[in-house]
Amino acid sequence: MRGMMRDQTAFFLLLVVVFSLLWFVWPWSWLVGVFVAGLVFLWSLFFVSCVGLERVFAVVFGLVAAPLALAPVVEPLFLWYAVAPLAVFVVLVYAASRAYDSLLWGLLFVVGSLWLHVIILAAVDLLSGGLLSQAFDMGFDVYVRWNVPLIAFMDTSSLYISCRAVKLIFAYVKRRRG
Amino acid sequence: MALVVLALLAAAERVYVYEVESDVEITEDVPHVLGISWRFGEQLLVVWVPRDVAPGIILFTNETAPIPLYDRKYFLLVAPADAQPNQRADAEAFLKTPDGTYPVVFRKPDAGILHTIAHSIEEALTILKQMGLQPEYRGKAELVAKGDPDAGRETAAPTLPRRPSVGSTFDVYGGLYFRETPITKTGLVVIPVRGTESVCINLPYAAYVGYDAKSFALGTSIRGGAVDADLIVEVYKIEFGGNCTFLGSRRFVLANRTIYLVDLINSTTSVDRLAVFVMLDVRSFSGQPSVGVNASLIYTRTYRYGFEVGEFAARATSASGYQINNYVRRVVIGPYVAYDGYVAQTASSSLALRIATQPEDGTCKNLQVRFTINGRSPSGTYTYRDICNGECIYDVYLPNIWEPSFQVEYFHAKAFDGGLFWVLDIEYTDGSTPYVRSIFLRNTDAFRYWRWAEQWKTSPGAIDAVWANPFLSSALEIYAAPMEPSTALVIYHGLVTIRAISTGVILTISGKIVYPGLDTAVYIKKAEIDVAMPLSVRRIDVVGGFYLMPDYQLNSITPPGWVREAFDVKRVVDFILMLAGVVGRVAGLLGFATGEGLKSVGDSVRAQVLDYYTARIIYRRGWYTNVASDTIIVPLRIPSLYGRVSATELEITRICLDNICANPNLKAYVQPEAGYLIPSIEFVKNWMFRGQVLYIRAYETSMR
Repeated sequence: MRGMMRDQTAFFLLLVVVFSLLWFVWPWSWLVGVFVAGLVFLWSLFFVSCVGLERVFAVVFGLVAAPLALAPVVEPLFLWYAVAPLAVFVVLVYAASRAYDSLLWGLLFVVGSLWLHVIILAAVDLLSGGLLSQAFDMGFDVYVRWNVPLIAFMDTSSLYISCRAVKLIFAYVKRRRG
Repeated sequence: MALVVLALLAAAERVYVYEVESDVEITEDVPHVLGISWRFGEQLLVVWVPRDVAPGIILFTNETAPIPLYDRKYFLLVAPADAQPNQRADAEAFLKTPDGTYPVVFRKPDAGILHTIAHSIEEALTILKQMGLQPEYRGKAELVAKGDPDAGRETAAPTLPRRPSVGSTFDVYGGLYFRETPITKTGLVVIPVRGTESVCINLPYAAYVGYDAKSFALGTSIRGGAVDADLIVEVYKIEFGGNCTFLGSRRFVLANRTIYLVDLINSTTSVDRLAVFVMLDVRSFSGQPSVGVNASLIYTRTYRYGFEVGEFAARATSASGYQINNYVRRVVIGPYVAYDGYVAQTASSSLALRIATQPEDGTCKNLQVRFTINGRSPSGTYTYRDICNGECIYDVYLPNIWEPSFQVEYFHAKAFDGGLFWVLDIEYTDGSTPYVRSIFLRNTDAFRYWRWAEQWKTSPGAIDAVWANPFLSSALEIYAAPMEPSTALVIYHGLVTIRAISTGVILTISGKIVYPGLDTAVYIKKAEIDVAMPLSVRRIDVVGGFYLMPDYQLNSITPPGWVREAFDVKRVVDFILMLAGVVGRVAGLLGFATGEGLKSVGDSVRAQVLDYYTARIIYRRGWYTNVASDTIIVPLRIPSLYGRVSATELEITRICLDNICANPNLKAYVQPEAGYLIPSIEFVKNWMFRGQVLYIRAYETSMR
């Protein structure tokens, strides 16, 4: 079971990275909204697969991501760009809570994984002489496109490590407790 | 129509047309035959025709076309059929024709016609017919100078460009622009000047010439039909208060593609401010003709304060290799704008390209390249030895521009409202045509010169207050092929002007990618411009930012309303997300994708301080907004410029329009806030640069 989970997470990691590579040829138009939506959707599935992917989450994350793609058609949906990360975060906490039977543990799992991956990213940035922060600073650029696939790869791979590490820690703590 | 032609033929005067090989170059002094008398006085008409036409490539559009090459010693001369010259006159040259020998002298044209430019002998004959003449081609003739043909004449020797120095006096070239006018009736037809402000209170449609004009020429073009008319030029003095008084007029026979010298405007008359009024006296017309008239001017100006000049550079930038694979004799590079205000003796060019040809019988021959400006005026001939590497590679460069050629072609370009381009004539030294595989154009200045930044003249010690904020600008034009032209035909065309006023700088950035085959254009999406100055730029600020719309309205660059709201919401949400580790400098993909997605929805323009002396102005077009404009206007407030008592030099050190970059080192000067202005005696400020006055007021008031 655990082996399968790992495979599933790795599969979504690959999917996020492959999708991010499309950024190299993605047109600079309203379709950028579709790209953001796709990235948010796949990233959310990737993360949730670490604690247990259920079909319902695919639907929920689809609903969370869809307004990002639709914003160019319905302008007020641009507000969702501010709120969507929070919505994803809440759903992830909920999913983790189900896996660990407690809201607190769920919250700790998600926040712990995220912070650990931020630490890994900061270390990589330091070791690479600021390459990663340069990629982040560049933002979405119409001509310079290498940064988004790099960020996607570094983010998902570090999150893969961190979420697995937190899972091991949680399993260890639970064993100690009883 | 038939009646008009018959009427024209009935009244037509028979003339002989000679195809002339000359050992004298024709300049503003044209051939006259002493003793003859016809409707053009003693003058012979000069018509330039190409010496030859050969297959060429127009580099930026990657089109092959027959390209003509003119020669300043080869032209048509038109003389009356029954000419009775005074053979005992003291001649400077002799015109040897099948009909006899004519003694010739050179002087300013009796009838004002400097010359006509035709694409072929046939077209020349058509133009002459449209002038009411009955031309007969009589064959070849020779124009032979008596004595040394170049004695006392300016030779086209290479000159080194000079940067203007304060205190010097020089010639400045400019232009006047009139509206193309359809001819729908006979009688008097006014050719109105472009622009909205009238120079003369009592005379609408007159054009402002101003002070100290030493030479004035009009160029004509007739499209869509034929017109038999006289071109009338009236010259006025602009009085204090704005009324104009008549000084005199000149009447010329109207001809297509012809330049007329108007001698009434000269150094003596233009001690006063002058205006011109142009009209036609139409006798008859056929078809639906419209007449275009433009003027070329040479002014005398003295550089007194250190801020009256700017720079213009026309660049071939980041251009890629052109796959030609064809026999090519001519290469055309351009056309570039003939930007107003060129200061004589300051032109330069660093044109350089690599031509790769196919070896013949396994060897590479020597290649001769003749550079000409606009295919008419020579600017050097160079022979290159090859580097053989499977193909013959020739590194071709233009070491120096020939100033006299540049001046003539610039003068013509203004008179015909045209541009400047290079035509390279390439052939092997044995006379054969090379099979060109590819051409690589290097990142160079095609043309560069200093320019008088405004039309006004400055006086010693004081400047008329109406010029408190002159239009001081420098400009950079870019042409490039942003990708391999054999993959897709794409041309990039950009123009950046930096306009300095005493408290800041206004950048105008234009750019578009043109797809000629598809007849579409994509407007500029990104620009970065680095501006350096010898003062601090730390408190530099973008005062708004505007799109210049096709109807000359300004549209403010701001994100859509809901995006602004989203930023407000984001500020609150991000606080929570930061604790969660979702957003932050390197926090991760989720925060990055949504945050950057939102940030790049709308257009933005901002200033970024690079170091103490340098600021970068960054414009980005959003992925959602799609404003139909290729031009952005960015007013910048630079507090360190306040209260300066001497001119400040700005320099554009780097420029990137979309993904095409250059390091032009283009200079511009900021007028100081010194108290040297005297009360105004003028009421109307007239700009040399058409139209731009329209958009100054919109944002100038917000600069403080």
